[in-house]
Amino acid sequence: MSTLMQEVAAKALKLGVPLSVQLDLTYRCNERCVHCYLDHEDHGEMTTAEIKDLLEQLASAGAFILSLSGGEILLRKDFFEILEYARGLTFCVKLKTNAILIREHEAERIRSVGVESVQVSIYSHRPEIHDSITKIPGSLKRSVDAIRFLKTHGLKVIIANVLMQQNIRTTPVLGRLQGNLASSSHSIPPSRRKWTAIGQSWDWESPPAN
Amino acid sequence: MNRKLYVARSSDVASRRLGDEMLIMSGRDSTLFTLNEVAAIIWEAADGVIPLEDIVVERICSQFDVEPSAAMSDAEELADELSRHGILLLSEEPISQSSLPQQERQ
Repeated sequence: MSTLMQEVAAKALKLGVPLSVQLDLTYRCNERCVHCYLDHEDHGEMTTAEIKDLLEQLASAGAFILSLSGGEILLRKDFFEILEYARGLTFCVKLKTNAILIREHEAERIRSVGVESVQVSIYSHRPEIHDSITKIPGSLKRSVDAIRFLKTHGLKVIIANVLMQQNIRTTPVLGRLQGNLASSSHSIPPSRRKWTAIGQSWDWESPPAN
Repeated sequence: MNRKLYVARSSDVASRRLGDEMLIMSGRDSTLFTLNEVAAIIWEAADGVIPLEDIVVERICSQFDVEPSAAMSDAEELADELSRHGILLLSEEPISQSSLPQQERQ
């Protein structure tokens, strides 16, 4: 985290301002990752109007960085409507996605709306390992293709990996993959991943020390 | 006679007021800026329609003990700097609303 961001975060804390928030738009997902803490059941979702109202409340409360996560955010049919609304409220938006549903058109649209970064979950450079973790055959190729679409449109892409027994030996190679594809990458122990899910966040460029 | 200068916030940035400061993140390179209280007033008033000179006279000089000429000079310097970073648009003509953040459009 930069010194300036540290100063800003300290000031926000002092003022009681929720500077950075994560909003999980859905429980639904098109992957079935073995490590995931969600059950993928449809527990009901906030409506578009409810989410817009929430975004207005967050903006009024001073929230600046908005991470949109899930479930898989692009499974919501109103995803772009929500994204455009958030940008209209001048949030600094970060997306967390498996990117399976991002093709050329979606990448172009994300670029036109303007987001700070897109974080894509990649668990291994080897399809048999990544796909066995997501339980979706072909998911690695889809996600990597999506990263290329996003990079083509000049978007900042962050590869997120969760360290597990299944993939820990391939992590160094995954690091080289991100060097070719993305802007940066991070490997997160599953416990930290869970920690983010309860609403805290950090700068993915500089995850907190153990 | 001085030229009129119009200023408008870029639609490609994220921004939020934090206390008396304004946080701005560039959509170009994710650089974070903070504007102090006076600069934040100019930023919030930068709608592309009100000339910078009017912003300075009506919103700065009316609140702070500063000579209009000195305030205008500082404001132009600020506007130039923000423009170089791509977060503020400058023009000698009023700036189209299509360039502004969505919630500012009429």
